Amino acid sequence: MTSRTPEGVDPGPGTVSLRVRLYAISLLLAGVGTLGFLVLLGVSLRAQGDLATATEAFMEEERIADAVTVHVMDQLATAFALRTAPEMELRDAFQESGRAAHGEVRRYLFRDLAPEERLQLETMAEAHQRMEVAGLRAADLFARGQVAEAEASWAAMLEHNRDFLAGMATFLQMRQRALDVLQTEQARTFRRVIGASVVLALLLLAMAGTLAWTVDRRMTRPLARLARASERFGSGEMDVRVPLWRDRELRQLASGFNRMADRLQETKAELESQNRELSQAMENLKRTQDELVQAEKLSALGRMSAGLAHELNNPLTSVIGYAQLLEERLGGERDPPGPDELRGEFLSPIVSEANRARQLVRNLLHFTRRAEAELKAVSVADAMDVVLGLHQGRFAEAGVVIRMEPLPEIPVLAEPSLLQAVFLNIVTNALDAIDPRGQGTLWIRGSSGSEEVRVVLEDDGPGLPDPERVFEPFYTTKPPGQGTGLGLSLVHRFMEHFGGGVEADHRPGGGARFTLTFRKAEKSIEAPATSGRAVGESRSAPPRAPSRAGDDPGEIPWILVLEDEAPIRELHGRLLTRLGVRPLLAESAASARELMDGAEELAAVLCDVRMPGETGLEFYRWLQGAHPGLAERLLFVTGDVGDPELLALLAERPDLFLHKPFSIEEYGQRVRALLDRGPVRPT
Amino acid sequence: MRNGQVSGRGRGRAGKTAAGLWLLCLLGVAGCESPPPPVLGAASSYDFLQATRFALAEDLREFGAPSPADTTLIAQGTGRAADALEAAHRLAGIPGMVAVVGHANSAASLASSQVYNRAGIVQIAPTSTAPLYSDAGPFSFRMVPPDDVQGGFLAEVVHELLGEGGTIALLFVNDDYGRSLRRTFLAALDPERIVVALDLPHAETDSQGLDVAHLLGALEHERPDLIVWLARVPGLNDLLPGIRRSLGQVPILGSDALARADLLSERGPEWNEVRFADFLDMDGSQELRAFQERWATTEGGDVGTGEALTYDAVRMILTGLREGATTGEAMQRWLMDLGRERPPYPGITGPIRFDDRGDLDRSFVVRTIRPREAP
Repeated sequence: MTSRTPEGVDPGPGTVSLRVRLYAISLLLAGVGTLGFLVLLGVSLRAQGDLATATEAFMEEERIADAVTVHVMDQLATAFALRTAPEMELRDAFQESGRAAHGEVRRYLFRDLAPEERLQLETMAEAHQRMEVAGLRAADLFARGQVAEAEASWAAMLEHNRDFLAGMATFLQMRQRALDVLQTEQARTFRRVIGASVVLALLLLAMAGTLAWTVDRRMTRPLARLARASERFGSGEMDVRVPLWRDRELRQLASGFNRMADRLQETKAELESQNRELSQAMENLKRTQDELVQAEKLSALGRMSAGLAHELNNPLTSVIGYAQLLEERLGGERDPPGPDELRGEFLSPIVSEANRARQLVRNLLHFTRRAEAELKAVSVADAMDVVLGLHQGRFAEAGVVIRMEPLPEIPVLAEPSLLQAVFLNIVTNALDAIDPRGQGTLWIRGSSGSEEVRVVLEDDGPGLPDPERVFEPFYTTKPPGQGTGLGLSLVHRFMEHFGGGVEADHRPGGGARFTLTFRKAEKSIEAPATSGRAVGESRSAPPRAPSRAGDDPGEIPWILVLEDEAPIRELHGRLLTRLGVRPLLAESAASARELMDGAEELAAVLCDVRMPGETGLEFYRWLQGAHPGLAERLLFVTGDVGDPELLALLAERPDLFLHKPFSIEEYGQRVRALLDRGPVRPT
Repeated sequence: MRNGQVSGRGRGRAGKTAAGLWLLCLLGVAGCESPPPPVLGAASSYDFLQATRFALAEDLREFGAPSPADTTLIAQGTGRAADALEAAHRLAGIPGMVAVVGHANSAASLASSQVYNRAGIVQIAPTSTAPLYSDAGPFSFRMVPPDDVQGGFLAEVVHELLGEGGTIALLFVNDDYGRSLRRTFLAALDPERIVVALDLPHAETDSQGLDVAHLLGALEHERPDLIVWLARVPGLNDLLPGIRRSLGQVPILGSDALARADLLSERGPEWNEVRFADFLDMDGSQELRAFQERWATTEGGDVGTGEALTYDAVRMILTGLREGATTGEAMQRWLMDLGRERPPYPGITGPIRFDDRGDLDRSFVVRTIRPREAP
């Protein structure tokens, strides 16, 4: 009774199975009912059978008695006949009737008789025997004429006949009394059966009531209580429990319910605790996310600033340089420049470079108006021009060729600054993907439908390993520290903000493809105050510089200039010439190496940093290995300080750098300082 | 169990334990109570009871141990069925009664047979021949064949005695014995050769006794060639002197009821040449001659076939008791197994094997009473 159940619920000591209890009561009820019914049925059937048997026996005995009487009366009648005609046939008839009567009497022999009845029967038989003997004797005496003796025997015969009939009557009375006793007993038995039936019915009723009471008390009430407890528990009363009832099943049920309630209560407490922790974690995550978004914004701002600085420093360098050259030329005592020379060699480059800088600033200002928080009609072409213009230098450095088809001039709904961020992030993503290879292509094309404008940007970089996840926050394939994983997530968010969408997938042939879908704007675009575009031009390779500045070998030192932008390279040439140095102008590292091969001595190397293909830093590293002496005479002329490696080198060797824009004096001092160290052979 | 300190469960267990102990005690008492010792009863005439005592004594001498059964003997001076019934009820009421040897005649045996059958007690009637006894029940056995056999046998004897034919006077006792024997005898008699000149019953139970005068008158009137007596000894003993005076040495053929030892030893000369049917030829086997010698030595005088049959019945029951048939049912099965599952009982009267109705398949012999030799 105390064995542990398979579910592990201890039924408790001394508990009895309710099923066993109910079975026992039901079996007892059925057993008592069946036994009582069978007993009553048996008693009734037996009494009925006894009565039927007795009645049948009595009727049979009545028939026997009737037959005996008939045969004896026949004998008597034959005896009367023999009195007057003693013939042999009559004697035979007399004896035949007697034999029949005797046979009928002997039929009683095998019947169930009481001792006194059997004795009475033998008395009857003896009387009959005497009657027959007396009758035959009388007949014989009558036949022989002995009338007196015959009459005496006749009288004896009649007396024996009366004795026989009286005995028969007595016998039948005894049987009748026996039947009466049996009937009385039957009546008493029936009364007992009825009484027993009533008692049995009451007993069964009591047992049924006990069973119903047991079921109610042991099963219905506990189940109702369990149901109420379940309802209360379901409504939140986690501390509600039920008692452990005595019956095994209900005890197991209650134990299971209580254990379930305990576990649910514990689980709820754990969930509440985890919920609090999760809420805290969510707050922290949101804060972190905000910080990351801010960091991403700052990172984007930094990238934009770096590009802006580079793009501005170059025209500024040209403007300052040409302006100072002009100032110096105009301040000279001899050979002042003529109007044509002044316009062609000094003013035109200054104006051109100043316009270039102005255009950059205008575009930037146009797309950084943060007050425009609501969606408006924007030109995707203009936005794309700004982004590409700001990153023109990086495209060149990364060796990225931009092949852009004219984008639709259909206004779309967007926020200009966010639209710029969208393009910036996708373009930056392409740049970062292509940059390690040193060359690649970015395709930009657009199309318009009835409701939307599509812009597709494709690159031939390594592609997206998992396009479906690129828009997840913090998903990045870049090395740690080089990406926040929020750029493309913001693209997705901004595009949804615009009411459009963005899809990422693989470009056929390799690479990544981003498809931006914009809603068309109903209003037309306000005309931007721009006069031109700084984008749309494709750059295949920097123009090659003249290999040598002059032919006079004499004592004039040679300085190698490595600059990808032609105006700056030309300015270098003028400034070095002014300083009495013969410049070797190279547009790329490769052309620089060619010039170095042809040079006997070089006094210094002036090198830009951000260039298409091999960068200035890479050229410097090469130079440190191939021409250490010349590497000691290298001067970086750059307006870019955003590169971490460059910053590290700057911190270590600030004497290696001449920052754009620079003054002629500063330029001259740094070049002369290099010249003072004497030339070296580049081999 | 009335201790109120006992818990409900304890009371229940204690009650069950007590009930179990009571049941065990009752079973023990019932199991330890030995059954009553087997009892052998006998209810018959004095002659047959003497044979019973003789058999018990010889059994004791043979086995040297007390009889395997107590014995209750009830002597019946008459063959009345009423007396037999009273004796049967007395014997059936004795605990342990296994078998009863009795009663004196067919009427008595037939009347008492139902008492024994209902009590499950074996009854072995030594000389009862009434055909109805065959239907008395499974506990009813007898040592002789029924009247069907004797009636035919007597008819054959009559045919032999009368040769070409003649008249007979048929005197019979008007009870079960005489009536049934008369019927079977007449059925076997050849009516073409034998004329029944006189057919008279008499009643042995009549308080006035046999009407000798009437019977003699009838006999003198008919003067038969042969008198057939289907009744017992006392009636013929009363009638014979008159017969000899009036009819001389008319042949008399009696039934087996005349086969009594006292008749042979204490007869008068009128009994000479009286023939009667007997179950055995007492000189026909070594066993019977030895039995007569032992009887003569111990009891003195002659011994009849009834005594020999009673002797065999008693010794046979004692054998069954020794072989474990100590109840009426067991004894009934043991008797029915004789000649079937076990060999027939080797009685002095011959091998004993009962048929399905409890009868013995034996024949009769005719014995003639010879004049007594002068001492």
